[in-house]
Amino acid sequence: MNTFCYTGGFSVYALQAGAELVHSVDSSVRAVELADHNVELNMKDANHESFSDDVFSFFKNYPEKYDVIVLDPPAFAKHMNARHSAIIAYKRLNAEAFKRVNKGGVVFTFSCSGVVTRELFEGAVTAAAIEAGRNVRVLTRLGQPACHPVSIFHSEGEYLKGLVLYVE
Amino acid sequence: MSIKQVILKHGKEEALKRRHPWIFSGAIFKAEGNPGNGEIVHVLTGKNEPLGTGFYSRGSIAIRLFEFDVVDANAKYWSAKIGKAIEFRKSIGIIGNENTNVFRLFNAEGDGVPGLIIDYYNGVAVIQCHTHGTYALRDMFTEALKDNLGKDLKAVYDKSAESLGEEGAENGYLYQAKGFNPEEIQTVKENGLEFAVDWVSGQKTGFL
Repeated sequence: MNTFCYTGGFSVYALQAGAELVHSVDSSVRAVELADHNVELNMKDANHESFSDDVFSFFKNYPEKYDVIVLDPPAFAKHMNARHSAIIAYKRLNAEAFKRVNKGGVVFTFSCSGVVTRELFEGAVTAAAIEAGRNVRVLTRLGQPACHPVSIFHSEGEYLKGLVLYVE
Repeated sequence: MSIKQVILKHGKEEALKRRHPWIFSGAIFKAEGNPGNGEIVHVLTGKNEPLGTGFYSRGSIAIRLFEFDVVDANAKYWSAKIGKAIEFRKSIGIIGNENTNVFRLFNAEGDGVPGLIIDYYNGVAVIQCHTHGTYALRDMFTEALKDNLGKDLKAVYDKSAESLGEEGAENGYLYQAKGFNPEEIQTVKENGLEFAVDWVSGQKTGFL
């Protein structure tokens, strides 16, 4: 499942890599249309379903479990004063995913909020794993690609944090 | 027009030796000639030693440096700055890759200009300015992109309205080459996969 799918990038890559079925969810109707279009651009008869829905209500109303869940939300905090509520939102979102991923499944989770440091983000994800009662191990830590270089003298430039997690 | 000078308090130049490009308002001893929001200033020590050139701002981050030296930031300078970002991406295989024609062409402090983001979508450059200083230079950046990319540039679109948060700033094309059709759906390629991109009504600059 690809949440906050926007243009459907993760969905296209997953289908290309052999996913049997991909669900894409985004609250924006336009984004879901774009995701559908992008799947069609790359493959015929892909097993892809998209839902224009709020991600949290989708989790609530659609009880299916998944082998892989992608959480790549838009920045929850753009300013320092929104940081606390953003951390709570990351915890809630990740806990939902941990409850809904199959045993031996993988969660790709990201934060692009510049004011939420990697340490704070990983703390929120850890709290989510505790709440969900799952054993979670870090397979890989991800960051910005090479076309988004960060100056080593300006660590504030590192806004994208990602974790690839193995969930038991 | 002469460039206004900002003098730092004694000892505050030490932070710049660590190459961090932001100067906070508390480090400033004197800003000569009351520079405007976004105006380019030269930064000096009290002994008149050159420290850098950057954008002045009325916020708590008072100056964002784009050079750790006193320079004349003219059209040639900006063209070279953008050119350097392009050369870097060529050298690491991002530009000239037949499977990918979408990438971030300029990444703010990571490429040496705080507040300036440029994404490249198969010939269309989408500029996102986060500060008054960079926004004021958007036409200069457009010329610099034309200089460096030549026929590999089909259009330049300014998408600063949201990132700038300034009333009156409107998104729109700054340049369209002959034959470019803004109504046409633009498709880009990433790792051999195709994606339709919409920088006009999409989030962020459209994809990245």
